[in-house]
Order: sequence, then C-alpha cells, then structure tokens
Amino acid sequence: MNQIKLVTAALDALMVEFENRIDRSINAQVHALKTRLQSVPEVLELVPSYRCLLVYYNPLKHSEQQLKQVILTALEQPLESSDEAAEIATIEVCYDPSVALDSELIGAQTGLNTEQLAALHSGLDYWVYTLGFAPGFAYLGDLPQALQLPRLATPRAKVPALSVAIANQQTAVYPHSSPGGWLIIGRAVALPQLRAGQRVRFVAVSLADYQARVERP
Amino acid sequence: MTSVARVIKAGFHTSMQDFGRFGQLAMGITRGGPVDERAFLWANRLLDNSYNAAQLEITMSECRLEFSAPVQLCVTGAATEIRINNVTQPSWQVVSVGPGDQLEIPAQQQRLRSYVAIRGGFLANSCEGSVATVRRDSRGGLHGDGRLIADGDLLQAAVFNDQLPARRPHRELLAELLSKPSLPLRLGIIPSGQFQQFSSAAQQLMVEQTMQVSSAYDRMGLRVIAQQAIPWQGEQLISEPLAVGSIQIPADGQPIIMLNDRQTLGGYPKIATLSWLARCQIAQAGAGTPINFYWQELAEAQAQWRQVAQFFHLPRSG
Repeated sequence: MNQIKLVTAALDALMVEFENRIDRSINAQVHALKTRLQSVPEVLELVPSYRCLLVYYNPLKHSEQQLKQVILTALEQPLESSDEAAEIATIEVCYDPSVALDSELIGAQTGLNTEQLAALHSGLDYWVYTLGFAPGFAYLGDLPQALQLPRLATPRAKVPALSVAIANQQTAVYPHSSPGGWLIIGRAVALPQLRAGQRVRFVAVSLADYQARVERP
Repeated sequence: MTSVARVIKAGFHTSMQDFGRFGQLAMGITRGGPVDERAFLWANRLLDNSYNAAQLEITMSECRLEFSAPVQLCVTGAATEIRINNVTQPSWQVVSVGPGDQLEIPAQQQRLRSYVAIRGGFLANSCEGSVATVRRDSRGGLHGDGRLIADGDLLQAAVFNDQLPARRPHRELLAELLSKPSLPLRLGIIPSGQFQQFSSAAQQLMVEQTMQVSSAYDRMGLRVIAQQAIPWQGEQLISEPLAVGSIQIPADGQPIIMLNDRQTLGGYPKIATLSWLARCQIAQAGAGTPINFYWQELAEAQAQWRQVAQFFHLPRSG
C-alpha cells in the first residue's frame, strides 16, 4: 500500500498511482479499488488504466483533501490482487491467412505455421488491462513470449473491423475499422462488450465455420 | 419536434454539441462538447435553456442557415456580429427570426469558434445520453454517427408560443466578452500529473517564455511551439488516463494541450492542466497566437470554476 500515490490530475480529478509496472496483479488492484469506489457518493467517474485510476469528483461539493481521505479510507482494507474470480468472455477467432492479414509476416518472424499460431494465441486466458484508443478497444495481455513482436513500421490506414491483432506483450480486437499498427493474426466472429478487469478466452474456428457464422450470425 | 431550419452552407467544420458525453471514459469513449464552454454556456443562459441544450459549433468558416419556423436564437463565441437577411446585427443577444429568414455567421480570421444556440436546443437522437459530435468515436450529431453538419441538413427543434425578451449580457461584461484579448494570452495552469518529476528548470521554462499556438490544432488538442523545449528526463510512461485541459510533454519538448475530443489514455508525461478560463481562452486562439502560461494554485482554479458552475447551473465540470 505504501507504494500508492495520490496526484492532482485536473481541477476536478485525482490520479491514484500504483506501482509503475505492467503487471496483472497490480492491474487487478486498480480494478478492485475501482469497484470499491464505484458506490462512494463523493466519486463522479472512474477511469482505470494499467497502474492508475483517475477519480473525478465535483469541486462544488468536495475538496481535493476530502477526496484524498475517501480514497485512503478505501485503501485501508487490502485490495484483491488475484484475477481468479474474474468473469471469462469467450471470443471465437478465425486464424486463416485469408483474414489474418499479417499471418505471413508473423510466420516469418516466429517460424510458426497457421495452426501453431492459432494454438499459441488461443492457448491461454488473457486479462483486460484497460480500454482506450477507441470506443470498446480493450488492451489484453500477456501474449506468450513467442508471439511478442513489434508493431508494423508503417501503420495500416484501415484495419478491418473485428481484426484480432498483436503488439509486444499485448493483443486486442479492433471493434471498428480504424487505422492501426498492430499485426493482424486473425478475425473475430463477434466482439462482446469487454470490461477492464475481465478475463478473455479466444477459441479457434475454421474458415468454413467462420464464414457460416458471419453470414448467418 | 419539427424541422425549424435548413443548412444552406455548413462551413468546413461545423458540429452539433451539447455539454458532452460523460460517464463513458472507462469504455474508451471521450467527452466531446463545446471547446469554448464560456461562449456555449452564455448562449444557453441567454435563451433560458438548460446548460446542456445542443448548439452548433462553427469553426472559422462562414455558416448560413435558413429558417422555416419562428424561432429565437443566440450566436456567441468568435463572431462579433451576425447577418440576418443581409442586415448586420450584434452577436451575444437573443434574436427572433421567422420562416424564410436567413442567418449568416461570417467567416472569422482571428478567433476560431462560434456557437449558434436556439431556444430549447437543437434536437437529435442521443448516443449514451448525449448528442455531442465526436467524429473519431463515430458518435453524436444529427445522425448519431459522428458526422459533421452538412449542406442541406434539416435541423430539428421545439417551437414555442411565447417570446423571450431580446436580452444580452450587461454592458461591461459584453464589452469584455467582445473585446480583442490582450496578447500574449495569459493562461492559468495548475501543476498536475508528473509535475513533481520534471526538473525545476522545466517547471520554470513553462512560464518564463512566450510560446505560440502552432497550426496543428483540432478538437482533440493543439500543439504549442516553445522556443526552449521543456525537458523530460524521466522514463517512458505506461499509458494512463488523460483529463481535458492537461498539457502533455512529448519527447521533442513541445507542449500538447488536450481538448474535448482527447483520447482517453495517453502515454506522454503531463506537467500541468489548464484552468477553466484558460481552456475557454485557448479555444479561440488561432495559429501564431502568443501565449504566456502562469502557475495557479489548485484552490484558486477551483474557486474560479465554482463561481462559473453556480452562475451557469452546472452540475459538474468537464
């Protein structure tokens, strides 16, 4: 707890800063504090990220000092840092090269074929660290070491909607078509509304299944 | 709800804005809303509207509307005068128009953003409780998909049977609102974010030089040119939530001020956040405007905002 700092972020917001690392257990504490503060009347809005929680309040009603006290009180009980209890969202993904626009590039850099890439990417549960960049864009981690590759040198002007992409230790599903520099490893059948602090499991589907599902959802 | 006006000429960047889309930041959805809150809130107040009633935000270029119903409207912001059927009238006051009347907001050279408010506010289907247009998020506006106002669009509003008086702010205040700001603009900032981790030299450089607004500005943010770059010796940041008005310092040391359509997370260190008044001032500052920041206490900036909030009946800040 002694590593947590409270810093002014705006005239109506305080930043709660946890330990300065990208780490599931630290991020789980961020979300645990968010859950704890959600029902507190002094708090207007909460924005979690990897290791920070932005807390908005109303300066008409409360001072920064009062908000600090509210947060410190919420921090008195230890925060749950385990992700075991988190709800799991399942996302079906087609890893076929016809929709995995960078499968060739990823294959060349990792030495793995399509089946191996699919098995590796869908072989473990991910954690939703935070949402941002675009509405509904969830940053998931951590990727297996073998899939940790840098972004494209030149971002794509248009990444197709529902593309499943990887970059460094993270993976994500583009909710809408947008520019983007992550490597595209597959295409999701559909994207449920993800929330930070959830777990995500990818399930590989064949191209035939994908086409059937997309045509008749 | 009825169609009260047709857009004859939209201009290059005209959008519908209410006070903003709140409560969705955790989903990656930004606020939107008027960049010059003062001008926006004045227009709604003069028309007896809710603070949140939707208006058009016009950026620099000429905009023309033709009315098809009797309505009362108010133009504030950059435009110091408007034309109704080619007759010049002062802005910042309640004006009555009827079917066939044309309103023209002339192109602006010096200041950026004008607001057209109508009694009761423009009506459109809301997304997550707001009609604020955010193109990047594909939300808000007439069609609910983030599109800007276009030529030929039909604007909807309620029609009233009674008339409001042709009121305006009292004379001294109006003179102040209409006067050219003295330059350099003096902008109050409060220390925030990574302020403590910046060197004292960097903290001083923020206020001891005159900077300039660059030509890189939009509703997301604007870049400022600092002759002496603001140094950051700390490590790279893990992306964290970003507040409207915060000032990021990227590796080149040239400050970026975040505005209403900012991304919800950012990875650059932040040294300060603009006061409410400073945000309204910078909202009107075009490329080349000289600016001087000055450090302000949080308590002072909050006291200033509390007065504003009470005057305009704001439930919360941006």
